[in-house]
Amino acid sequence: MRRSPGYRLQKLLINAGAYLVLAVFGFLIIFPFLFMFFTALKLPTDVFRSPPRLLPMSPQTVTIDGQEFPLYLVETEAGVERLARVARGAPVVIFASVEDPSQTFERAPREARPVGGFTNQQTALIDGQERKLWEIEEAGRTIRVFELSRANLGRFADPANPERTLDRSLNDARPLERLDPQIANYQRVLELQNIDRSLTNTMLVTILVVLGQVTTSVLGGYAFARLAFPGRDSLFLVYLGTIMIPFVVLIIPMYQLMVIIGWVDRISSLILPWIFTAYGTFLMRQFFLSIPKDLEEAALMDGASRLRILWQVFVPLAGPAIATQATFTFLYAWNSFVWPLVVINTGNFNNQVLTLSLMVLQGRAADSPNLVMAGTTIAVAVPLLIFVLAQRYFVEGIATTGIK
Amino acid sequence: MNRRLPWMISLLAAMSLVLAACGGAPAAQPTTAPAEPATAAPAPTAAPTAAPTAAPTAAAPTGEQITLRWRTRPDNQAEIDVYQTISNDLDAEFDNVTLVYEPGGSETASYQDVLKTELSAGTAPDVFWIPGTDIADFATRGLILNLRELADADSDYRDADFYPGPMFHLTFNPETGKTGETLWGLPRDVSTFVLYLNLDLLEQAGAPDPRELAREGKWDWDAFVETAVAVNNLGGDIKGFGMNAWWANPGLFINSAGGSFFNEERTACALDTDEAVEGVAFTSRLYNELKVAVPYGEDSEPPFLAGNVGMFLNGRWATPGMRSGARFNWDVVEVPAGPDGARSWLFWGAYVVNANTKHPQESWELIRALTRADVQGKISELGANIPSRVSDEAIDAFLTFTPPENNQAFINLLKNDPAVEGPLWAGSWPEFDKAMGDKITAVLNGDLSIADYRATVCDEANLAFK
Amino acid sequence: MATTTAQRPVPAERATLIARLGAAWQGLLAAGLALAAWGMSQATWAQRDGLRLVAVALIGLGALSSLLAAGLMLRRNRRGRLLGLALNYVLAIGCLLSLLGTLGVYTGLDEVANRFYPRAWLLIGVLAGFLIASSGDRFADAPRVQAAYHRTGRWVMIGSVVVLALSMGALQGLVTLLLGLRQPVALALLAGASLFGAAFWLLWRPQTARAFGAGERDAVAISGYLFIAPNLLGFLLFFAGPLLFSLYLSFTNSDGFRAEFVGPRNYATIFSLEVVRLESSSQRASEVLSPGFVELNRIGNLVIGARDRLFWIALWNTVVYCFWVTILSVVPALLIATILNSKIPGMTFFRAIYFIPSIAGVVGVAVIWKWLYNSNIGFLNYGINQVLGVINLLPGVELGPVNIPWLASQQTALASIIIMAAWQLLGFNTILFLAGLQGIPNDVYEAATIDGAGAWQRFRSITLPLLGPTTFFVVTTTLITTLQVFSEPFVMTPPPGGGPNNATLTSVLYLYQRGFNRFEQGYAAAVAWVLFLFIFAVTIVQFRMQRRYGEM
Repeated sequence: MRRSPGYRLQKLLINAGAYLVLAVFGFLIIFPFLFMFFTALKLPTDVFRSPPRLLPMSPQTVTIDGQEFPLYLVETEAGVERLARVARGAPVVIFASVEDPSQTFERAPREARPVGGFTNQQTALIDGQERKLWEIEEAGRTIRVFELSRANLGRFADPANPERTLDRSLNDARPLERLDPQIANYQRVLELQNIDRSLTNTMLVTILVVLGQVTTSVLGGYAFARLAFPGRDSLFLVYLGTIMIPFVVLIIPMYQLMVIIGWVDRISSLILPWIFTAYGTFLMRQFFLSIPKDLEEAALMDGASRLRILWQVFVPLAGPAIATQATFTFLYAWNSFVWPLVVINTGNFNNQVLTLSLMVLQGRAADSPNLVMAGTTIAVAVPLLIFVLAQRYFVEGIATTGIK
Repeated sequence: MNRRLPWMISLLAAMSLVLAACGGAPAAQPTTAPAEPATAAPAPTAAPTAAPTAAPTAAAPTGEQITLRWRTRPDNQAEIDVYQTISNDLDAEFDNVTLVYEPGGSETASYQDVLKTELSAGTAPDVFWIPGTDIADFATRGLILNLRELADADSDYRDADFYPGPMFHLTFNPETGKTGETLWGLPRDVSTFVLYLNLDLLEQAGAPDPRELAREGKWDWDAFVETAVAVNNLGGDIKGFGMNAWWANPGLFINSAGGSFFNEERTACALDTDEAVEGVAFTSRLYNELKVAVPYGEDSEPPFLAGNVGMFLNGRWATPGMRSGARFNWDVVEVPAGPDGARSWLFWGAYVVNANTKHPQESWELIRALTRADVQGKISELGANIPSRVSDEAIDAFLTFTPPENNQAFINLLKNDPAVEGPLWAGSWPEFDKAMGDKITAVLNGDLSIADYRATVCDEANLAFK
Repeated sequence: MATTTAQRPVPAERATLIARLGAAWQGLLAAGLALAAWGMSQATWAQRDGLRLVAVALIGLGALSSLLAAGLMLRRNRRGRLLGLALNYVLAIGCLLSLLGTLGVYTGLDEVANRFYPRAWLLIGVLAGFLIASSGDRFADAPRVQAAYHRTGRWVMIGSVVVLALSMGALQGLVTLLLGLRQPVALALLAGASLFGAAFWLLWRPQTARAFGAGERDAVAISGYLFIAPNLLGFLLFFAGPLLFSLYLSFTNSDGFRAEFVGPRNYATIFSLEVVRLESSSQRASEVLSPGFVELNRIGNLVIGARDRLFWIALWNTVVYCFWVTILSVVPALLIATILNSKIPGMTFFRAIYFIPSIAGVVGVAVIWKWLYNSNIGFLNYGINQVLGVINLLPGVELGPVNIPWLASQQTALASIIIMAAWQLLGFNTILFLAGLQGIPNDVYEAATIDGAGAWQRFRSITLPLLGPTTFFVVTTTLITTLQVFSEPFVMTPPPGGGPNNATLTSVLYLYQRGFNRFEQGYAAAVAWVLFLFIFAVTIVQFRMQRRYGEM
């Protein structure tokens, strides 16, 4: 087929549009993680900022006479200079007289009184603009003024020549800052909450739950798909029904059960009850149903056992379905939250999992979001890494099962 | 063919063996103490039927050495470290007793919910801390031990050593409705509400210094509104005032207006009295008319720490966060005086003893030790609370724990008849809290008029009383 | 089951002997179980008397069925054999599991976690093996190279697992385990397990089968039961049992410590609704409602009152949440999936990006978003204002800066959580749609293109209908997960959760509050069951609709 230049242009435009849409959505999707990642690297004093800022920065400083001062870019007579701020800024307001607006006064804010108080401050129309009125003392008398501008004055000094100081508005001075990622935050959060232990616990729990669920649901799915036994279909319906039962219905009795068998606060309570899944069984059954019967019958003729047929014929074919189920289970086990919250004692650091640790961390380090985010980064990073490496299996597993 | 079916069983066995191979080892070695549910058996009468799983736990030698578990709700690692140190020190002091300290989950991790769950399962620690509002719930359910007899047998102990507010509730007898008859626990600490100030913002706004006004006795609601408006006038993201969304914050204004949550007997809702409504109306004015406050429901601490809020209402527990996060000059001041004066809250929490503990005497000794002056000093040095003992010594020590410079504000409010955080003996506090909180939130968010609030608030809140 | 060997009939006397032996064993078993049940009924279990009764009932049931099996066996009824098989199987597995418990295997998992902690890095070996194996896929045209890669990868994986197991002390573990068998309880359980196992094996043998005249159908059924057994046992123990218990709880006033049977009172409270007419709009609702009822809503002068107002508010919030999250996470997902399905380069990259929120976990994500939503210093308002600033550059547009109190306001709190949830589900749904799209053969599109169909037409008349089953699946899973929403409002709004004036109170959160915050576990169980019935009804409707749209 010959393609005209017009067609190619159209194609190019469509592609550009597609990329644009994808990029915009992609940005929205990824931004919270960028925020998390960068906040995790911030100093405590850099966390709360208005307006917010993404990158972790710390002020550049210079040492004068053994004392450290922050550096600013300040506009002076000599152009823009790098100066050290040696004293905190004192606020200053420039007022103009109501009677004669050309007459201006410089005052500290507290030297001016609002006319009628702050809550009901009187205003007047001056040059067509509504202005709030203030009273100040000038040469022994009280005069009415309005505000022209206000600034925070800072005292700046030349680092090369500390004798030379000047007062400038802090609003016009730009603080010099440098990128200063605090890797130590990770160190601190590990000490604070044993996140690494929670991480390995979560890994262990997830691995065992995934293995267990896949095993039981392959077996169960095969039985439902291929072996006629009395009561099979009604049992299957019951299974289907249970998929819809919210887990919360079970929290209370399950907890009581754990108490009876002594698994409260034990890792086993996070694993063993969760390796039986109606959902996975359902998924496997659906997949096994789509495998032609001839394959199995041929093997049966050869005298193969059911287990061998399952292992040698069905399981290899079920690769994508197993990958799908493993993905679902992985996400489920890795992120399960309510159950660990109830069954694992929050004081028992040895048996905590990530979700629980994060929750506790969020409370314990409520005033240090940098640490909370460092913990969250650790919690997110590992599944992310696994996902990036095994992306194909994650995604194509789902794709080829066709979710039927 | 069929012959191979037993593979099925072998597979099961193999699976279990793999597990066993890894897991069998520990049965021989006792794991770390906290994991062992020493109090796992639900009650002393538990029959031998307590399931086979209990068998392999390395049983602690009976007789001399006993283990006591205790728990608090720490807010940060520094706090955990202090409690751990205290636990270790006391452990060394106590013969025959091994103390195990468990840092409980924070408020966000449902500390009390988890505790109740464990109590119902029989896995809760012997001694634990709970907030003052929860005392009635735990006591009337029979979850905590009445320590009165143990206290009477202890010659060194006097109720009067602690602030009377908390002790009123800690000695309340729900059956007779009289106080002084029981002892549900001992208060760990107290705290008052103060206003945290961003001094830089106040100066920029030209507002007078609230600390000076307070000294001159002019720090009242009007001055407070003036200051909030002045700061808010700075514009942009700057807000004059901020507080967090829980009962104590609007409650402060209700109290200062002369109102109260409950009637005097604490048996019915009193939120619709003139005084109580005036407090809510004043708060609503800040939010809806003057619009000088951080939206109610939003955590005000981050914007305060970002330098965007002039005054932030909070308790002593916010101090450590200010110390580490604030990049501006800050201090504290008393809460402003309303029509009924500057009435702050007296917050408190208590150490209580699990009703099912096997070692009541040792538990009592533990909570006695935990509320000793020196131990309380160590805790309040952290900055998060004030000792619960009435003692000038303790207060003098507290005043030196700066910043904030103006620690005196906490103490002044403590002496000025604060309203006591209290449990609800005649009803369900969570239920009352929820009904009240919903209505007040609706008012402060501008979704409910004061008149409608007044007409409806007690309808639902009164359902909380039995 | 088909057999290749010829079936020799069993001589009659032998068959009778087998049947009698089997019946004798079952009879013995029935006697033993009955004895156990009697013993247990005499014992006292502090605080757990209900449990004891259940145990007695179960064991008694076992005894009865064993007796039944014995009877049936005597008459050489094949059902007797099936029943016997089931009983012996359950007992053998029960002994085995208790044996593992006695040996400390379950609680030993804690120690496994202890040992796994310093050695988790060994899993890198598994990862490396996996990478080696999958990098072999590039040599599809050289099968031998590929096979070599696969083999190496596999061995690296197996090797590192073995190293991990050994370094965690698997061998010592095995030894301790065997030594643990010296305990008398363990020995008894082992003996029990072997005994029942042997009985099972004897009953199961083809010879026995023939003696009872069991045909192939029985063989298939037995293998079916055996395959489903692990799943079914776990299901009964950890699902059905607790479920029934919660049903019982829902008819009590259990506060977690004491429980009294109160009949359907909890359900009555939940469903107590009444509608009354106000005389005038200024009249207070409390004047006309019955005592105990609180105003839920009003239409004109009609006031709807409820005993449990919060339940209905929570249910409504849940429905709203469910509706919007489904819309917001399904429609854009379809759009993105369609774009991703075009064969332009870089799609795998975007595909990966979109999937990230799904793997990040609700708790982590909620923690992040809580900060983004801060009205004063959060990025969301800041970002919106930046965008508004750009829009304001257009002549004649003047949009003021916004300052939305996202999580703090009754009007926006639920929306905030909806946005976050949709954001998180979007990628997952995209992948599902992508899977569906890739299942549509290309030539269908090509044919349509040749016929002159535009992109939109192709999407409408080919993609959408063919995507029906996928859409159904996506919508169903999204519905079911969103109806159970809990973590998002729990983490994002201050404890006990529920947000400003119950704006983010969802059903499950309400249930949690009643059950664990106020500890009214009986009532909470009733709420749970009502919620379950609701979800069930929604799903049924879903299935009905799906049937209309054809096979899934």
